[in-house]
Amino acid sequence: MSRRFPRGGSVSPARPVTRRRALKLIGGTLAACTLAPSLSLGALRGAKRPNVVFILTDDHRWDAMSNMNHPFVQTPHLDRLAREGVRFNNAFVTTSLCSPSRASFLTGQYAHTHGVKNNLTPWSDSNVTLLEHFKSAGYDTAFIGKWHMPGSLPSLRGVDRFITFTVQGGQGRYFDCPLIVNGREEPSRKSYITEELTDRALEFIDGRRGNPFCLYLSHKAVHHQFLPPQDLKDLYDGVDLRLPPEADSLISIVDGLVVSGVVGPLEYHYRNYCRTITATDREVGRLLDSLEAMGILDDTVVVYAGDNGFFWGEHRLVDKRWPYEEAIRIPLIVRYPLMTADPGIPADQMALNIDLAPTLLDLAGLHIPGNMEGSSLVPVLRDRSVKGREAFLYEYFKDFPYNVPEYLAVRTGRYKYIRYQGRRKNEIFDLANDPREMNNLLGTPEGDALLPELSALMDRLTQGRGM
Amino acid sequence: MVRAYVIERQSLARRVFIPALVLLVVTAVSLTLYKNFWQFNLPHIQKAAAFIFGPAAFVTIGCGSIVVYPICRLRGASVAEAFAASMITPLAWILKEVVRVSEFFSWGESFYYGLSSAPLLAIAANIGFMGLGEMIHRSRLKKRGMAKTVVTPVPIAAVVFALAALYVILIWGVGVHWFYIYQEGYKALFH
Repeated sequence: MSRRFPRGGSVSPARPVTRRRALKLIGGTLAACTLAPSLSLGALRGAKRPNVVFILTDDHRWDAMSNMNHPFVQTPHLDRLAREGVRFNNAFVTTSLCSPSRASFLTGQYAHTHGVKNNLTPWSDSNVTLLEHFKSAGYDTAFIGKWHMPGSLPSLRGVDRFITFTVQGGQGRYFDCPLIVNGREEPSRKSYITEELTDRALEFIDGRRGNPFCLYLSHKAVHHQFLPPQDLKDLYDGVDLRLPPEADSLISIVDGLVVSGVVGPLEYHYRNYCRTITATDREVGRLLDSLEAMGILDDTVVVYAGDNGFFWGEHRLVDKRWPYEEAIRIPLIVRYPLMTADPGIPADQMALNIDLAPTLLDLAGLHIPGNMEGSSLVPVLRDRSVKGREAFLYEYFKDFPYNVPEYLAVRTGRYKYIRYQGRRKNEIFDLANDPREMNNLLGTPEGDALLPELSALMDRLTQGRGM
Repeated sequence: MVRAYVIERQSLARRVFIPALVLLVVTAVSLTLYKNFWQFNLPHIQKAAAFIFGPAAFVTIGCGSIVVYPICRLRGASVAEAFAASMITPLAWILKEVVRVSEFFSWGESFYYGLSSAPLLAIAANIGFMGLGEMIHRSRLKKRGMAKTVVTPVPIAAVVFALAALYVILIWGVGVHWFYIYQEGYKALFH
């Protein structure tokens, strides 16, 4: 995929400073100071490298936040992030499945490139993570939380502190989850895992010395079994859940959906899911408050994202493996006042999980390696009117025994074209007129007219990718 | 005085096929209505319909033998015949699932899918209910003076087998441990 965003204006220390480059930098800085006074202070302060806190949650769908006008879920701390930063209204994953998506966040690459195509294909230690890049630039680094990629635990290069868990196939447990701390098993000190991981994150932040830090905090929450802490177990009791009209209580146990593990009434799980989101939000708040108390909040890039969405009855589905909006959209919020114009104004440009690594590197003024397939979102942070990508490629690889065919999809601002392998009929949706993707246009005059263009776009996006 | 009853051995159709087919039809209708009722666009009764047809499909697939088995036995079917009649619905459902998932997987994988948690539980539950059914059948016979013992090792073993399967597949680690064992089998066979 071509890089559609221009690179940010930050300067890589790895690149030699030529006269032309120096003049360009001075000119750019002067122009920025003239045109965007709000950014000038940031540019001056930007000489100091920012800390980075990336918070990744599991299966948190994009609309399950109060700042997205969810009918009842309360996420005051994510709302704060959105208010003080930039929420990407059109953020997506390139594969809607935990392991591939997580590897994409880490590497800035598609699943077919980093090799973690599903929950069976192992992570290769030859992959280079963004943490390795930060470490090379002198950062203190930590990966804390859910690793959950196929194969044994990796030898992560460039990670000073690696805290994870392996129980339940790497999914971890909500309560009393034993941890693996730099290779050694340790009991959880707090019962609830989101609190424990936040504690560990704060310890890392607090324990740092002179270097800036890069923290990758990867929660188990809000994945199945969607268990909230004890004090929130009655939250949202009695609220109208407003599940989609095609849903009913039992859909999670038919048509193979039972392998998703969501056994039991849909309403029961959905309520717990929402409670677990609020519990996670509370821990995000604790982290933000601590950074603020340390006086480093504004020197820290804070990013919140989900690894994929989740169906709660839409299309009579639970789980996340189909390429409909509920699954492929994610929450993505970036807070870094020093490089953000107009905080609180959301961005409508399409952002992807593979954009995270280049964006963080760009924000830190580091070189973005050429093998990263995402693009820096820094231009969007600086100017919400900048032109974004027009389309992106989405891919899904067979993940036995989940009842989903392998497929490729292309999503543009308005249309989605899905090309399935096997005997399932391909699909085209007009997302403007049919946002719930209920009417497949393929086989209609409108759809057939769109097909050649969308098909050519898919071919173009897959070209040279060995797919 | 206990009146003597004789179980009449009815025709193959009456003692095996009709009970099995009735269950199969109820299952098929329940499943079809459950899955498609929402498309009738009757939101005011959709939930009620789902609560009728969904559990009906679930019960007939997973527990049908508790009805079919004793009926077959009362109509003179042998244990083997009653067993076969009881297994028609769960096996037909599993076969339907194998064909359905062949849309996503190779045929080899699809047949392996037929050994996943839900199909295995359906088989195990029906075996357990057959054990119960046999004991129900015997208790009826005993009331009529035609049987001396109700509880014997084989039907008890069937019930224990079903409970053990339920524990291993669904309760042990909330189903996660069995799922990973199953996944290891998949990797060994297909990767």
